[in-house]
Amino acid sequence: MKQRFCLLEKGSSTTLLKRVPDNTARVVPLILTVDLLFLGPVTKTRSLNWQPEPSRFEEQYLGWENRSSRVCLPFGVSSLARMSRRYDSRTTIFSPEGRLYQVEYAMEAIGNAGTAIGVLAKDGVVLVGEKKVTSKLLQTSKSTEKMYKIDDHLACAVAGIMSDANILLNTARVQAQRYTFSYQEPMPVEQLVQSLCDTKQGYTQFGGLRPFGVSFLFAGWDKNFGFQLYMSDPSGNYGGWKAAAIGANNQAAQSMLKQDYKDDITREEAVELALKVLSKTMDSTSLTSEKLELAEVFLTPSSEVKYQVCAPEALSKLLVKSGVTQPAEEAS
Amino acid sequence: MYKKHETLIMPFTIVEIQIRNELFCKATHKRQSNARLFPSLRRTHPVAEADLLKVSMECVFGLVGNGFALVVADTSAVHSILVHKSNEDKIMVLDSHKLIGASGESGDRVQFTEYIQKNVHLYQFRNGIPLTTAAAANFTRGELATALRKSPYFVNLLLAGYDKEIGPSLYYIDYIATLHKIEKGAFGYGSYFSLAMMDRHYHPGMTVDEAIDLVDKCIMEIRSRLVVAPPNFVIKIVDKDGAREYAWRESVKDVSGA
Repeated sequence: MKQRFCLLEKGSSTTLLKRVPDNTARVVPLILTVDLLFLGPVTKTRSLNWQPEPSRFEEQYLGWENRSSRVCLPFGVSSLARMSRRYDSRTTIFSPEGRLYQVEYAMEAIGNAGTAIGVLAKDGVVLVGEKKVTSKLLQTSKSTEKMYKIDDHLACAVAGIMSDANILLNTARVQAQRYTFSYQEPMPVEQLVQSLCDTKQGYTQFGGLRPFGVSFLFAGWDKNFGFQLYMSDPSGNYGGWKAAAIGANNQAAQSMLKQDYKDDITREEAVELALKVLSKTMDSTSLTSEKLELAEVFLTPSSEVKYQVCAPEALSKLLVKSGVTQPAEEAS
Repeated sequence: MYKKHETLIMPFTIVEIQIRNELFCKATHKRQSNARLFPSLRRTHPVAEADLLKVSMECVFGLVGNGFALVVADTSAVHSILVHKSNEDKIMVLDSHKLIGASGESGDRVQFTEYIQKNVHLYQFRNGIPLTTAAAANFTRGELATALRKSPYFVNLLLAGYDKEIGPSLYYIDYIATLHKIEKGAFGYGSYFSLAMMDRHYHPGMTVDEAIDLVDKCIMEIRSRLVVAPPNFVIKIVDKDGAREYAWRESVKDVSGA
């Protein structure tokens, strides 16, 4: 008789393998894929997404006992709570707890990237980023490596996989120009953020592909809502913030910002705040201009929007001024 | 396929198409007629056809005053020598603060202005903010320009709008996708008279009363000097309070009623 193996779990600690006749296999609501691949032929059933409630599960299990099928092999300990293993290989399938593991892992990946902090001021937006120096031999790029200009009125800071980010930055720039082509006007900031997040979202819903491992901080200005700061993550969520942090230690940075942020701060104060928070969240002890990037979006006296990246020399001076680095260290 | 005189009128497009056809035939070693390559050429080429009718019997004109812009249009639906209707509204309220007055092929006119209107609405629903008049005008121009080389619309448009920061503005868009920001403008046979009147009497910063006075002068001139003068006109206005119908100038009551 054709035999099928079924994996059953009792309680939440042990997994048992049952050998059951073909006709009864269909009744079993729970068949697991990964662990079974090397155990023998198994028909995948529709119940992949089924989560056994403990009581119902018990019932099923007892039902099996009554049918006098026998337990042939105790299996390795795998708890029900660690459901992630079964669902995390698919980007587009919910786990029984309602999570999308690949998306969460993508966010995890961003946690290893250099920190970037954005602060919204009444007269501009400030972005600072930590450049990770991976090797002494590595030539640090002359231009910025965390800050990118998308359009004249819009720039962003990136944390995450840079190769992914480049793709998104390209689409963002195309979108911005396409809008200007259609309307002869700069694209409103939120619309651009939204269009980019729509792209990101697609990769959490349509299968076979990996989500973008990138978070962005967008800083921009438009005529309707003035200065704006947005943060987006790999799931395609975005939100407007007064101060936000992405990358390594973003939670610590976020809570520090929460404490120290005041409404209606000026751009200078915002720079100071951002530098202070970044210096505290960074692993390295001394903050130097080589490890840092600072960019601002503001209005010139002739009310044109300007994106400006702070030069290393000016940045060194700023660091001393804001008391993040000691002037003595600079001298020595 | 083309009558001779049309080839003369539109040497550009037709020569261009023929060259493209030849190149295509060389590349594919096939002989194909223009009509198979370009389905729109089965009849007269629409652009060429439109050129013949470049000046329509309609009268659409508009001007910008102090804090408002207005658009006037005749309300005759004409086909050949027949007047089908004399209360056809040719000025569409695009959104709360925009008006679009259109002349041209009546089917194209309705189709195109509705298409623009729906897109302007869609933008507002999607983004929560309205398009500025300038953005709407540029969008409209873009749509006309893309259609021009596919299946062109024969419509001439005057787009009037009011923006909080900018104030009132008026845009001239013709069927070959020309865009101009203007203070006064006109389309159709009526334009010969209304442009002349406006050149003489228009000045920047006109009040509503002055402007309406000028509009009446224009209408009077059209009615008295143009052989094919339409009997009725509608005047619409847009200012800080929004776009709305202002008045009608009727010399014939439509028998079918409004």
